[in-house]
Amino acid sequence: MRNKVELLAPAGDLEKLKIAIIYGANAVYIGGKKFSLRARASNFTIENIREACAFAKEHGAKIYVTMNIIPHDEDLDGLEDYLLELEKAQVTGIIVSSLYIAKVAQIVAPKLECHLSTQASVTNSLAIKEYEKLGFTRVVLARETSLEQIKKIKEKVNAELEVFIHGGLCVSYSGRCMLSNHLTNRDANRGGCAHSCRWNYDLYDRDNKINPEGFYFNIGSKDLVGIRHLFSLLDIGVASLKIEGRMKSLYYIATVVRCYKQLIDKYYEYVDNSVDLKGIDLEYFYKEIGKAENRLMSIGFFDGAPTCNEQLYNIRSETPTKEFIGIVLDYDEKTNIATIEQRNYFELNDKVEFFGPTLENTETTITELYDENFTPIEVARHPLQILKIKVPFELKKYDMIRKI
Amino acid sequence: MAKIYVDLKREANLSEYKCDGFIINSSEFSCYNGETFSLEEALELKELVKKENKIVILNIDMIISEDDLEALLEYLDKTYKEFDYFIYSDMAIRYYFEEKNIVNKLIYNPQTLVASSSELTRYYESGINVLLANELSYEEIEKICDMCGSYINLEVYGYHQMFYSKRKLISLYDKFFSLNKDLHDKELSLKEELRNEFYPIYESNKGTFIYTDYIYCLFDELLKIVDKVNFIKINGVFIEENDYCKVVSLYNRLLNERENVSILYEELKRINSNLSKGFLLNKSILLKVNENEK
Ligand code: SF4
Repeated sequence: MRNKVELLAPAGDLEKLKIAIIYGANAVYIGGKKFSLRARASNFTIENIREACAFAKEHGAKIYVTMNIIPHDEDLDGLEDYLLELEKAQVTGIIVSSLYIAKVAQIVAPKLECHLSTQASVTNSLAIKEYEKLGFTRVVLARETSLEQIKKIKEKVNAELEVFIHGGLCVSYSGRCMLSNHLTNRDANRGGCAHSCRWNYDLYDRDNKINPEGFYFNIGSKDLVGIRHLFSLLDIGVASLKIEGRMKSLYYIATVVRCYKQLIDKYYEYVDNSVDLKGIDLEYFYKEIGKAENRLMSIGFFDGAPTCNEQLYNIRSETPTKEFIGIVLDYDEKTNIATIEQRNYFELNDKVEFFGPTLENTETTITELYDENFTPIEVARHPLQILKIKVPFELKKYDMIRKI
Repeated sequence: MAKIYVDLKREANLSEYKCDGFIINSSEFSCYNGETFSLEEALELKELVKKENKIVILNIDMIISEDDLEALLEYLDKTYKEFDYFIYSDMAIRYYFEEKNIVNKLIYNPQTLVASSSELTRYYESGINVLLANELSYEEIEKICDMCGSYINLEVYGYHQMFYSKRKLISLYDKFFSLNKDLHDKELSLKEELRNEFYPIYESNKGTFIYTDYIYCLFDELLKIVDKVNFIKINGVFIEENDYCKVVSLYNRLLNERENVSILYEELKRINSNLSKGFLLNKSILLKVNENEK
């Protein structure tokens, strides 16, 4: 039996974690309150982690906890206890860049798998062999690795390979950027990146400004989208495909996870039935992602050295996304009434689209709208308000609604 | 007493340098953006350094891609016996030296990744020297020295690399705006729109590098920890040879001749006044969870 690829999603809180799993992620990575990057991702308490693991287990998914800070001595207090707690909670593995944290984990919590974070910027097979000796069972490859290189690496190593498939990209080697630290005293390696690579700069050759009048010199990278390269990565046999973005919204996670999950399922279905993959309409998936993602996208290093197309120059062409307006809590088949939680303003007679883990995109118009007590209303203007709407097709808990 | 290692410059008169060793920066495998040397040159220069009875170190600190591996292994086969130490940042190099059973020739310099005594321990347990991250406060350095002694190595002077990208960011920009300027392998500077500082930026065939706008300088404080430090490195990037040689001599007078610190520091400032203590007095912050930020 072939090992199927793992689709690995980010989650900033329990709600997002549940959505990621419901929408098709096989594993979710989360940050604890300690030892993890992403300052503003609402990090999980041990209690939350326990709940996350229990939920994941119920759904046959795994939880990894990121512990990828570059620690200073004072950051390491309580490390052993924390690792023990994670092991007890049945976390599957930790994602680390510090050899010290990895070593302590291997001693005090040997059931935790040790995955090497992309912060270590690994781009070759020999480095991976060294990390294998140091007890790492999986390596998250640097985003600077091309498809061809990934293929060569896979042939030479035993460790599992995890590859970023979607999301924000550091323009520097991960872990090797101190811009934010020097410009704002916010250390990217300790969770505080101020995204200084996306700021506006002028470039000078001695006293002469090089950037043309009216334009800044920009160095930032467009985000990564791996739709076109997904099948090649599956052919290569990477173990895990990672979506970036622990700070992204619930809607974003649902949309992106669902999209890649559908693509992965199609791949296996087509390959198992010897059907040509060219028959899959990739455009549809780009459009789907575009409904939740307004940042400019690129292919990163997948085809080799990035071109101008991968760079973010000062062009304002980020398109608005389709608005996420609610999430389904319940559906009554007899009355065709859905109970939903409002997430954005909408009105009676708005055209909307429902989608879900198993629900294809289905359009309808809101013809009946009530508050929680079935009092008819015309507008839904209160965030998180519980509402009732009539929907002429079956819905399930966690299906979502967006405006067309 | 800490040894002094310096970058070898093309025009350098070796005997004038008051140092214990020279770092030869490899054209093929270092991401140094000053004078670099091909394999042949490096092997010739090594002989000259040896004649001066000095330690000779080869810097091969770039991040190695799978496509570079074959060339790297060939390069290492030709050099591993020839140099006293090797500065590296990619674990492929550690793997090679472990296979040869000579990891004690290694100096790990990942720029940012070793920032605690605990982390450092993981390397020196295996006999590997480490250059500490540049973004540490003096308090942290002192503490690490107390705990790890003799394996501590510090960069004490020079422009610090604060960004290493594999992308050719300047050439791409040049191409996008059809500027047709030859900006590759050239020292340029970068100014953020709201700030006044100019940061050196350099694109080589290894990628794009950005440096601090100041010369980091650990000088008077060095005396307090010098007995616990294995070596100090004086970084020569973007510093003219003549000035560089004078800087090295001042560090030698500080450490070996114990001359008056204030007078020496004044002399150091006359060479280049753009000195800063970087993070020495200014700890970087661990930014963690704010419950209200969702
Ligand atoms: S400033 Fe940009 S390149 Fe640097 S760490 Fe932050 S996102 Fe990455």
